[in-house]
Amino acid sequence: MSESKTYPTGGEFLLQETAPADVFTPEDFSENQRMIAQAARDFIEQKIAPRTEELEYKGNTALGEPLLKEAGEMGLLMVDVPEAYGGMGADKATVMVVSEIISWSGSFAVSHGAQSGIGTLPIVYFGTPEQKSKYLPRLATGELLTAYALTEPGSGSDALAASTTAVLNDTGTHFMLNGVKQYITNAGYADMFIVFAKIDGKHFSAFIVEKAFGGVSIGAEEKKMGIKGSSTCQVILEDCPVPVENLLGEAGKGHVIAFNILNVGRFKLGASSVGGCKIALENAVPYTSERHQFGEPINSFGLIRSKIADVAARTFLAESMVYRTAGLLDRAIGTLDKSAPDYDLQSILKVEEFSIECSMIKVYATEAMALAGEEGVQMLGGYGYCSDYVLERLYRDERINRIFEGTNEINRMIIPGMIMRKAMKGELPFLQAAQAVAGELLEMPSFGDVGEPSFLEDETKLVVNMKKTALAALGIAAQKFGANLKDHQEVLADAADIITEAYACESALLRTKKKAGNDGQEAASLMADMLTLALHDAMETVGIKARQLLANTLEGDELRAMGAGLRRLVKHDPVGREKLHGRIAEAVIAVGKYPF
Amino acid sequence: MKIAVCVTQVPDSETRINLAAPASELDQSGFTRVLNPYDAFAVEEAVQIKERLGADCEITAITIGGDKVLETIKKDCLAVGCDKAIRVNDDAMIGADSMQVAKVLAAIIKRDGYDLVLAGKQTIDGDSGQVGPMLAEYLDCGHASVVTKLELADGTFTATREIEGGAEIVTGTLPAVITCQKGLNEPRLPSLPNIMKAGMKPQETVTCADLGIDVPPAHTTITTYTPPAPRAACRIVENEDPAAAAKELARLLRDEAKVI
Ligand SMILES: Cc1cc2nc3c(=O)[nH]c(=O)nc-3n(C[C@H](O)[C@H](O)[C@H](O)COP(=O)(O)OP(=O)(O)OC[C@H]3O[C@@H](n4cnc5c(N)ncnc54)[C@H](O)[C@@H]3O)c2cc1C
Repeated sequence: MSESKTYPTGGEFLLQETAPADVFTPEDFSENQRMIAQAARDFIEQKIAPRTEELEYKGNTALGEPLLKEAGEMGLLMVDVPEAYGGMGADKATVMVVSEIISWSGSFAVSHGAQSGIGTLPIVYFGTPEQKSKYLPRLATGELLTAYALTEPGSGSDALAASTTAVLNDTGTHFMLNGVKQYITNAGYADMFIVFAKIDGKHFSAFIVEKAFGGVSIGAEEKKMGIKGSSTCQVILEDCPVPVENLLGEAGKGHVIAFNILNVGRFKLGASSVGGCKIALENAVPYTSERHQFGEPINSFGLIRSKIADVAARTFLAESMVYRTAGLLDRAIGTLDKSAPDYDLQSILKVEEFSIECSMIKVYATEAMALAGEEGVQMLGGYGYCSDYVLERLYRDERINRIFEGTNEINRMIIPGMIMRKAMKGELPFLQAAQAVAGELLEMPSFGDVGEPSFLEDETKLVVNMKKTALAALGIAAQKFGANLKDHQEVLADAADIITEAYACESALLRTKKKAGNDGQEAASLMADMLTLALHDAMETVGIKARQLLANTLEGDELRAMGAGLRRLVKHDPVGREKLHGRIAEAVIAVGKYPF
Repeated sequence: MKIAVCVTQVPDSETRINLAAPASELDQSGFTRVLNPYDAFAVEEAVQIKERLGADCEITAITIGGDKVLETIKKDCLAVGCDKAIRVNDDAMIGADSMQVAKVLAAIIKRDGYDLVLAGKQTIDGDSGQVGPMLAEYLDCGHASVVTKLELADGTFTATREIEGGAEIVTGTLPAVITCQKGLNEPRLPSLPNIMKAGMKPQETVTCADLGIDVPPAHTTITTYTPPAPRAACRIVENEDPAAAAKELARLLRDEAKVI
């Protein structure tokens, strides 16, 4: 395999400057991507929306089955199945567009994700040619419905501690699987499962298990807080005979599959959470125009305008980082030889390089949606608390996003953890960069020039400083704690949040610059306002987290010296938030939804 | 059998129109454009006819519009089963009235010759409902409008038309122009792979000059768009005595609001 083209690798954004032209943005969607998005919208409007009551409020989870079949007919399950196996083999940007739009379908989005994502992709990426041709064409059309069975009653975040076992039978033809899987999406009607089990209780491995093999029974539907239309049950395996040729990937290498599939799940969930933010806005904002109190529409009040603007700005950042990441993935995958027999496997290994970004967008976008749900309900007042309005449901449905595909705690640990791992492996010259910044911190401050800044000049400086803060903070912690860093979760979480804010802000900055470059500053002014608003908020957060991190890491003179340096880095002149809120809210209210 | 389906793009019905004061033009920059919903019935009907007749049938989608219409043509016509598309892209046709549209469509249909012309019963933006019947006049053929059921038999058609309080069944000879109404069929959704392949189907772009016609003159011009009158503030009839208040309310409804 030859790698002629170069591309930025995961985590590299921290160490390098990125040119606006090099980021992928929603403004760059191709005609095909726009058409696919519209077709997915039409599907939801015609096929899912009329069933909302049954799905979301009556909890008729069985409806997932016919609806998945209909989605399959339309091609909505085949987006990332390779063309050779009856799929579309679309790029990651298209995959993310579909994930985003499908979020408008509510619970069905979770069923769709389990089928087309975590339930199908293990075979796409790790299957043998025989396994692929046997299963993928039928998974792509929805003829076969599938689920992903990793979690167990005793092992959730610590998935590798699974106690399900696989024992080869005497004749060497079948593995006998025994164990219980917990919270399995689509289990109520799935024909097959990707099951993780330990061979001889030791070697964590993945298996393709058809329900028809026997020994598989399904527990009762869980009674959930939200996503009530999606099926979630236990899967009980009792002497389930799985032919040896249904071992997926290598024996003992199940963790590679589990981790990589969750990684893909994370960026898709990031995309669908961006959709969730937009749903919150398009339901809350028109309401605030119609609802009058004290003789005025409630969105004439500053505190309602600030909510609208804050949610819109956060959505803008989340969206920018999601699609920037899509572009990074596609560029990396684009360096591969598509005709190589192991192309699919190689492409998931490319995605793995970006596990830092995947975790960042999972955390940032799911928390942006949490804010959107929270403020959305608040904007509707008592009406937001009642199930006649979409926001009540969105508020409940959103909650699961911060729990599955790796809890946000687990993902926060992954972000600095992966940076350190790449640094140790020599894939990312992180430590050198961190040392350089730490040195800068101890130098005397230089006094910046004064004068009217040019378009986005201040914002650019702040993003540079935010990235330096991230480098310094994690670098100091790594130096201080060495191999014990993993035991300092609060330090790691602070570092994760600083790094994530930097990625989010930089993604939005680059997108705004790209827009201004293409269409002029005037056309980018709303983006610039959103960026400025969110960036200053982010800088406040970064300042607090950096201080906490230092206080947890250093003492005495060292703490004072570094603390002074860091204060200079995170310094930012406050902006008039009221004015920014007003302008952004005005633009959002005018269209009644997310404006881009 | 050669079927022509005349289609057009309209603003999405959820489009918010920002018009503060009367103006001669609308700011359309934020509009999402979609296939005219009634045209979807025409496309679907053509595809179902083709499915019944098999390979012997060819469907051409015909439209007038700029580059923005291409997405609609691909996604909603070619990706659901039309075989090819012809687009008139002529700056002189921007904002054309019904008669101009009908004349230009007629020029293409005469040039290529079709056995059946299908169109939506009306657009949801212009709302004139005139293009189909005018087109039939220019083609000098029969037409049936607002059709909810269509049957074809060698050289003839039988169409069920929706009329006030009932239905009217019309028969006629082909070629004919049929305009389609909700209820005629259930338009299918384009599949994602077909959307990706739609771009490979033949598409022809022409101007009026290419068709060998002069740009037809406009017979009507839109002079002003006015926003709907703002809803007046609510008035509360205040009177301690409910009977007197009711009387006053009735008087206001009769004399001022003139609704009773
Ligand atoms: C509706 C629904 C659908 C699901 N669908 C699927 C599916 O299709 N397939 C599947 O396999 N699973 C599925 N799951 C399971 C889901 O992935 C797990 O619930 C999730 O991984 C968390 O595991 P847990 O519930 O056991 O929580 P635990 O792991 O017990 O976590 C409890 C708390 O402890 C924290 N915690 C745990 N470990 C650490 C640590 N090392 N450091 C810091 N904090 C930690 C967690 O962040 C969390 O806050 C689903 C769950 C739900 C609710």
